[in-house]
Amino acid sequence: MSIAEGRLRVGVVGLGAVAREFHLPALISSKQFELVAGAEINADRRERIRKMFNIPEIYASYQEMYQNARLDVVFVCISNQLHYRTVVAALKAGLHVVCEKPMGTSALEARSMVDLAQQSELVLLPAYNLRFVETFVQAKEKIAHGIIGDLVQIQGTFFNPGPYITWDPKSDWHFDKQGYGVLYDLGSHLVDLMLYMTGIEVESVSAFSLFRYSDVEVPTNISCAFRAKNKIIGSLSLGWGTGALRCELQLHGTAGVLLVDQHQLTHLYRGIDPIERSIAYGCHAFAEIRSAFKRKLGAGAISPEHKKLTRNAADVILGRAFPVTSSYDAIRTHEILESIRTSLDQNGNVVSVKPETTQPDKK
Amino acid sequence: MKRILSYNSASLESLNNEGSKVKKKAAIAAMKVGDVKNENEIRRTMYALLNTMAPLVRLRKGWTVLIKVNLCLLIGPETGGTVDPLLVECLVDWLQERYKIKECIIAESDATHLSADLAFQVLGWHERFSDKSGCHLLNLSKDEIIEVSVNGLHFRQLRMAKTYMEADYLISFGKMKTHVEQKMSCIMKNQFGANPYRYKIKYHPFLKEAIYDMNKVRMPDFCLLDGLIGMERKGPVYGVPKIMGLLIAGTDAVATDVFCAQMMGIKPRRVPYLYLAMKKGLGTRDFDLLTPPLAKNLYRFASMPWYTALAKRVVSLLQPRGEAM
Repeated sequence: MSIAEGRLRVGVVGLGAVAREFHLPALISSKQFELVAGAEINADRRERIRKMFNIPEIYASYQEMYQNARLDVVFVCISNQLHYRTVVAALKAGLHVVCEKPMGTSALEARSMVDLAQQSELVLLPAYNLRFVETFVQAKEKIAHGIIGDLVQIQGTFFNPGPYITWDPKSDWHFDKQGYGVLYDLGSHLVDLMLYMTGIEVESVSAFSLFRYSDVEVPTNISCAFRAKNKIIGSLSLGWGTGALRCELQLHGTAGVLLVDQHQLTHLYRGIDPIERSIAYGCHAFAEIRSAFKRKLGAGAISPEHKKLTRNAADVILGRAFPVTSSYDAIRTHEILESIRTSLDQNGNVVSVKPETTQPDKK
Repeated sequence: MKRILSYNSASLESLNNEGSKVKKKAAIAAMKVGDVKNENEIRRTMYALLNTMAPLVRLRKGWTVLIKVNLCLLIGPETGGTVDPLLVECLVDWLQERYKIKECIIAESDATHLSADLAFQVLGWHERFSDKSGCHLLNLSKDEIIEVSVNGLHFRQLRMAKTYMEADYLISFGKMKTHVEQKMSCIMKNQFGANPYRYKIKYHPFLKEAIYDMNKVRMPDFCLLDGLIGMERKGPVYGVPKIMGLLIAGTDAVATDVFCAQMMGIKPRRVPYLYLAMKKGLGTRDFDLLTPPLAKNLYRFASMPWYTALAKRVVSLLQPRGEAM
């Protein structure tokens, strides 16, 4: 099988929780991809995942896999700190790449990966899966249709109980100082989602943080205010260690408000009345029950967002579609995350969002 | 101190088109803007529209032109509720360049939930027009008031702003939106807003008659509609914006509203005030379209949801009778 035959030979680097839960099931079910290889440093996990997904070729390192397996595409599902070298090696080996978010640890790393992909005429896509969630897609369309008028203020929140509670990463890299804790875990998702849905250009940020885990040097909770072009302001709140998972954006416009999370989209406007509100709640309840049933009853057991992400990646590589997740957006997200990080280091000072402020990891 | 002048019916006939025996066909032009955020494209399209209508604009050098704009609440044009000042600026520039008019007055009156002065200030009209020579903003409610005999369906006499009545040329600049009671609010409903009395909500129980009378008292000489972003569902103030990118011009208020109703997917006969105007022979319903035709129902506007309308009806039936508005 090859690109010419319409099916892409794919290898997966890193067979941890993200690959096991999301990417591998989506790839197995895809008609456009053929899963041919996997690379994982942990021997136990390597064997377990190979059996679980019936992966034909398995390797102990990505270098070995790039050298020996006949591939068209790689999915990079390893820790953030290793994105840069893994992606660069893949691009140098002439492979298209789908890289887990946030695609490197800095804007400069992301920029050099994008430049290399462009020079090599290869596709590089960040796997920001939340862009494919139905409610967020609908909200983006509504904003584009001017249904809330001019955007004035944005409030984004992303909270979860934290690694090892709702999410079991089986490694401690989330707590490495370089990863900057919740900022690159949940913050990258929230910033990307906000930019994707609204297309705003953030100019400056000011952020504060909490360090609630003893002897861990990364923030667990962050609150950030920002100012964007066209008279828009907003705030982002991120946190680990909270009671429940919540990812929500409140978009306040001059003609209405959109409240959107992974399950429901609520449109409020001046004339909304209790009957309309009640009907909307009823529709949401029905949609939630239907999606829960779908997921439990097999047809939807594979994450629908990852299924769509996989399909879009294949279409982009085969030149049939535009990318929903652009690698240039990943650079923009990094620029904002870096400014938040600088503001946190300066105890909440207002920091302008400047392009590429850090040096790439050349390890 | 407001001076009360008196206008008799004969002078009124001479002021508006209603007295003419032979009904002429109206002319209408409609053009579409691709990107409603692109100021240059909007300017270009507005000029093209006005140039198309120019042979029908009977304006003379040295005349005073009054533009009645629709500013119903302190909400911007992007909400679909109010006229975009950019369009009015284009119109003023065009009038001044082409006809060398003496003065251009942009007018609105106070409403139950609005101070026109505050709206001009907050919505950026002041900023845009304060430095423009030969142009000023006017709150009709603060103008000299005159009494006008109308012998209408609801009013026998109307207290009107003198400047409004005496302007040489009247342009009505409305907004394309739905109306919870009258189905739509375009040119004729905009004219209702020229009544300088602030608490116009008290006329709502007989709104169609009041709209008819306000148009009878002075029909606009030229009509323009901002359909860049309209308002659907619970318009004209509590609705949802609808992007259309449409600019419409017409020589007759009734014909322009008939055309707009068709565009919005509303049958003109289902619009109470429009039906009344057609029945009573105000203006004309026939028109020639000077621009390439657009499909009827092109921008089908969603009206108020049926369950909300039903609930409103039930509540109104349950309300004690005889309560003052």
